[in-house]
Amino acid sequence: MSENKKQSDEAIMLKIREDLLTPMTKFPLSYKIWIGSLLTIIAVAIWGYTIQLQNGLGETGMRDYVSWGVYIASFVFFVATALVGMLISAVVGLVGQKWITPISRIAEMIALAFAMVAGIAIVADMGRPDRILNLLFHGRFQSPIIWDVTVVNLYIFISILLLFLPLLPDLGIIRNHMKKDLPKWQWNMYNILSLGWVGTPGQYKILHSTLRVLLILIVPVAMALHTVTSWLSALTLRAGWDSTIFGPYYVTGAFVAGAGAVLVAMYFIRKAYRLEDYITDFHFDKMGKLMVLVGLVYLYFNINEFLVPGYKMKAADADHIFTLFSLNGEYGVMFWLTQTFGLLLPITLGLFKPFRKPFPMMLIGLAIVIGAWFKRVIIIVPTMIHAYLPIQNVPESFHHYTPTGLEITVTLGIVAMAVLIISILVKLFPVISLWEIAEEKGVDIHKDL
Amino acid sequence: MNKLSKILSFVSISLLILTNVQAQDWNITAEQKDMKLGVAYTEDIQDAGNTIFKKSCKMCHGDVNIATTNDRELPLAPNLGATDWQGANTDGEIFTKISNGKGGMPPFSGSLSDDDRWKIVAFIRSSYSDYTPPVTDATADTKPKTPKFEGEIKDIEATYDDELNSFIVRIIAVDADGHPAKAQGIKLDFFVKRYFGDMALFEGERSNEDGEVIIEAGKLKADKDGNISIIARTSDKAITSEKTITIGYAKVWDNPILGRNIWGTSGRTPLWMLISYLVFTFGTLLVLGWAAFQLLRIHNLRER
Repeated sequence: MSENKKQSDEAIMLKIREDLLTPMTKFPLSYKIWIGSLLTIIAVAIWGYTIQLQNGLGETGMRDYVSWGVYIASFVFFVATALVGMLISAVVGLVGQKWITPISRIAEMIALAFAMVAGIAIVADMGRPDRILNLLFHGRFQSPIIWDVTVVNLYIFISILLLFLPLLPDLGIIRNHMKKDLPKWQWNMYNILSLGWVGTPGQYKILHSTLRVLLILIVPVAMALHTVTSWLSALTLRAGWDSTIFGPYYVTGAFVAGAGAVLVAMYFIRKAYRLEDYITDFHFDKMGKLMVLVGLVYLYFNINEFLVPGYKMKAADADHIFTLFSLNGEYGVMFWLTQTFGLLLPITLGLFKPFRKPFPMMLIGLAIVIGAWFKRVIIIVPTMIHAYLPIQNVPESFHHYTPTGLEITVTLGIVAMAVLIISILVKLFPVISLWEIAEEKGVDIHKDL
Repeated sequence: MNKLSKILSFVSISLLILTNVQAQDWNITAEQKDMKLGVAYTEDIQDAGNTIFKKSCKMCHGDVNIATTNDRELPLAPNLGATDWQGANTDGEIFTKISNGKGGMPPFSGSLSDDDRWKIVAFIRSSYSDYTPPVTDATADTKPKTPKFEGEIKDIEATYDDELNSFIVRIIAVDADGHPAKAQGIKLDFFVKRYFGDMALFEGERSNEDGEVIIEAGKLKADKDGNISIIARTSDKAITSEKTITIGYAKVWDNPILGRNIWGTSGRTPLWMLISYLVFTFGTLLVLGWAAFQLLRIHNLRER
């Protein structure tokens, strides 16, 4: 029996290795074009940024009143999307949902990439980035900014560990079986990174207990991260930001954005790596249902966020709400497009099974992600135009905010950087955890791999 | 055609606006114009009128400053001390204007009684030297309560009495013969200087038989040295005296910037906030450090 078992185990492992590790060794033309275009966008963005650095923030559309534009909106968007690592691995994983196994590493990679570029968006928004260290020397603990900087970094550390720890057994497998398929430097890298993983019960025990602690730890850290991000706005008296529910409003919004990003990434990774056997329609169906669930929660917070001030119509709030809700308002069209395609339609369509197939789910995910970005613009920018004191005796350009081409270029560059990090990560490391898949298929992974 | 219609509409709109502006008029009937002052023209009545004026009129019209004409730019409401205006209006006209209002001026017929509005007229008239009050029975037998002071006012002096906790404003005057005298019945104003405008403790108060006005200081706030700046003057502004006096102990002021408060500088972080920050940050780092140590343990298990 044990002989048979061993043989069947090895057959399964062979197929898993074949399916999941082969894409790492291949660099098709499409991948090269993809990386090349991302690098081009980043290069143009860097060129744009040097212009901004030389001439100052006057190159952007930001003026005295609107001093937070698409950069800060992007920052909030990146932080929001980064929260998906916590949603998928920790929240869904810890309640015992097994279906996330093939998705969790994708979610972690998205989380890490977006958390890393969030800081870049802040630096892009700074007029004097050379003074960034003043934040550490003169920061106030009373300010949410210092908390935000701290928590973003903690979140990045945890994300790295949460990505790296489950990789150990996979790195062991790569080290054992891929020596002749990989360049020498790459194999050496895996050899070092695998930390001498051999898969003894002792190693597995440490791995599992450490993972469990980190998965619990990431929940409060992620909640703190996005709550503090929301407090950057909510601790002011401004109309549209002066809200007690901004913390949960941001966190639930982040779950929606993250779910959308995972749907898109799942689709394209599955297509590029031919992983139809691992990321199946079943996973899209489950992800779709999760998206509907978090979408409904977010919708609930949206209703609270707008209905309550909308009922009272305090003067400044009324001004703000008119701008958003009336199609004649400055942000009316953007607001309704965002709410419709970024939230209402995804929830509605996600209720029906035919839409929870891979392709429609990818489209819906794309709509959610784009909508999520515009939603952050809507949260950040219109409030700044509705100051309590009248805006008077200023140039016309101070009354409105339109991002300049340079600003959009730099923003696109940062987005491209996040996508580039993900693209490199999925090429360097197996996108699906080999050992967890093997464990699910009943392979005795404690044996020598 | 298009141009013509534009011109036509412009002209007609302009006409509409013009007629509308012209329609804004006092509309005073001859009967109203002929009304006689409805109260006795005495100093007491004028004083009462002053009190009402300060409450209901001064916020727009400002002080009644005697001038030949209203030549000031602001405030928009005219200076009621302009003699040309005083001469052009009868008592009845002023009364009707107060009652009915016009444009930016509200009607006061609902908020002030007839009597009160007549008192305001009497007060306004008190700063018009050419005014001759209507002769009625009431004025005939009403003399001023106090005989008019005939001497010369030399100076005005304000002191603070610690025991009474009161300010004493005293007029220094000489009588017609040049001897020191007590000036009774002179109207005085008294202010405490504040950052944004002076605070009136009394205005238009008449001096008593000792030539003094005494007012309780109450719980006036002094500065850090216990000082207060006061201004005493005759209501006609002929003589003004301004000085700083000590009225009490230095005010102990808690500077809210100096404590450990949420609005303080980084060195004054509230302890609970500093502790939560440190516990959260280092707690998380500690767990991360522990996780890194687990990696080391895994590494150490590499050889069975």
